[in-house]
Amino acid sequence: MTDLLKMYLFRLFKDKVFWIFLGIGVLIVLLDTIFYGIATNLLKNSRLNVGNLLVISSESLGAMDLMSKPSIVGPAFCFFFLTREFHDGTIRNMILSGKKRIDIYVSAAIVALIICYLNILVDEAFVWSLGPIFGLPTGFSDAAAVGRFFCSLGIFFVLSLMFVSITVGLCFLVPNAFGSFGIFIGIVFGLTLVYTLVSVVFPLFVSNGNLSSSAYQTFEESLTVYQTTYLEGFSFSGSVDLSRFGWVSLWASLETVVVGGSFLFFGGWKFNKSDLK
Amino acid sequence: MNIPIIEAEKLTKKYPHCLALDAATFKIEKGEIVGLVGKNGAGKTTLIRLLTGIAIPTSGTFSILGVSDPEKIVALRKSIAAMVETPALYLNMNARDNLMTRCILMGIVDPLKSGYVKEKLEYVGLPGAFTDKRVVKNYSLGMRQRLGIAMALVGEPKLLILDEPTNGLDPEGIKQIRELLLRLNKDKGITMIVSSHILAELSKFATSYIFIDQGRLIEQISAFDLEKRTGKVLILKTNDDAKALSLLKDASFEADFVGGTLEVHDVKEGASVLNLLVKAGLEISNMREESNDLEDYFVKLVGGDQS
Repeated sequence: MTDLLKMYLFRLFKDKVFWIFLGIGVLIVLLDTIFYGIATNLLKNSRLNVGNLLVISSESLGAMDLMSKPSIVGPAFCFFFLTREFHDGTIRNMILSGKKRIDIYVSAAIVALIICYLNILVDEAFVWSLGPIFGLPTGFSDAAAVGRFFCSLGIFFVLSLMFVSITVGLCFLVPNAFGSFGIFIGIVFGLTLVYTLVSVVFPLFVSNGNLSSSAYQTFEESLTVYQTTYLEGFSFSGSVDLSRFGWVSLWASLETVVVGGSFLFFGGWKFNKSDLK
Repeated sequence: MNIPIIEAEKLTKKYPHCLALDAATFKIEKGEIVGLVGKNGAGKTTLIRLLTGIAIPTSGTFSILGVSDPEKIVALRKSIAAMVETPALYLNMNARDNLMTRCILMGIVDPLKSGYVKEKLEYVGLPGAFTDKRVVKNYSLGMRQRLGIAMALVGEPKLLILDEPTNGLDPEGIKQIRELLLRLNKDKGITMIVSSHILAELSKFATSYIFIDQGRLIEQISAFDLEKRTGKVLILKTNDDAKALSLLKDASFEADFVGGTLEVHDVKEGASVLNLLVKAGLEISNMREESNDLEDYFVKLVGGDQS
């Protein structure tokens, strides 16, 4: 397994696309931070309420946020990186070097996780270093904010684990970059649609008295991925109720185990049982 | 006792709509260069895929170096190298990095500093590739084939399996690959299984042959025996072919049924065959002499035109 990991990492760091992918991530963060700073400074003296504007902006760009680092950008690169083994036929080299299929699969999953986490960490490092320059609130004003940050980061990583599991599973179930990525996008949009519908329909039930607000909250939290709470908490722009982190963490972990675990299991099962090209 | 490199027993592979390999039983000894011969879709690649672990057999067993336990075979695959259909190369990497990936997988320590990578590239006639920055995607087919062989040689395999290694190459490229394979067999004692459509080419270096047709292994024969069967052949039709065969064999003639026709191989004097059969009271309705090469032999064996 060590050889496999070494080989994957060798390939990764030699891959120009990987550096371009990291660079694009950093560029987006950079632009995001600059635009935030410009917008804040421009609106300081206007009659508009900056806070409200940011909330509106956050809501309208919610879908974009949700599809960013954990769910789309990292996995997109992983799809092309992992399915290359099938496209170029180099998966045969691994088999012929006396490696067990399960070891190959687990190594691929570990490398995909490294790619996604590295992407998040590099981007966040840039936010931390550039944020103060452009007036972006760091959120480290008090101890609660620090706690909120680490809890959010933990959940963010758990959710990334789910997306990585779906990605790796799909790469081995449909070993074609465009095919598997297409299915992945379908899954993400499908879940977004469900969340959107639930967000619209459930409040109606709540307002009619047919459903308690706590039941609604529970259901909403069951779709953890789409809880803006995490993203707000992670980007320090929102206020997060720390007392609910335990509950939210549990949901995130459960979803990761059930959804991510299923994809990971079926991907590994299929790879272990089927013929390769 | 010599342990065969590969020994297969009723190796079978079924796909939903076809039987790709039907109970193939054969043995390959150390140092052999086995020519795997068959039409398109005969089952050659399926057999190679099963031996290399790329595909999983439906039934039957095979052993590598005397080990047949599937779990243990996984680790033993390190001693097999293969090039199935096309060389398995990362097209977006250069030759040196491609070799590095293989070296890492095979656990070779410091392959660049020790000169291991350079040595492999030089061995296959690609010395310039060590410093060549071009990605493999921009290589010619012949260069890719050579690089594929260099990749296969990493870890000093005992068995090299090559599926159509000369496919798409020009005559010069074919000659170079053939010379390379012969050198590998001679210098390093590597046993080889080489599948090819170009039978005349195979006959220049194979020491034995496995003929496959419609998923069935129809014959395994040494180059020495095959030579006896090719060359000048006497084709006979008598009123009792079975009796004629028995008589000829008793008289130490190399006779056999090939594709249902009675053939006498390696005949110096046709008249001696004629005398023997006539004396035994057999009526000869047809007798003709033919020159037989490997291609003719194969076509007769599978009973049709080679595609």
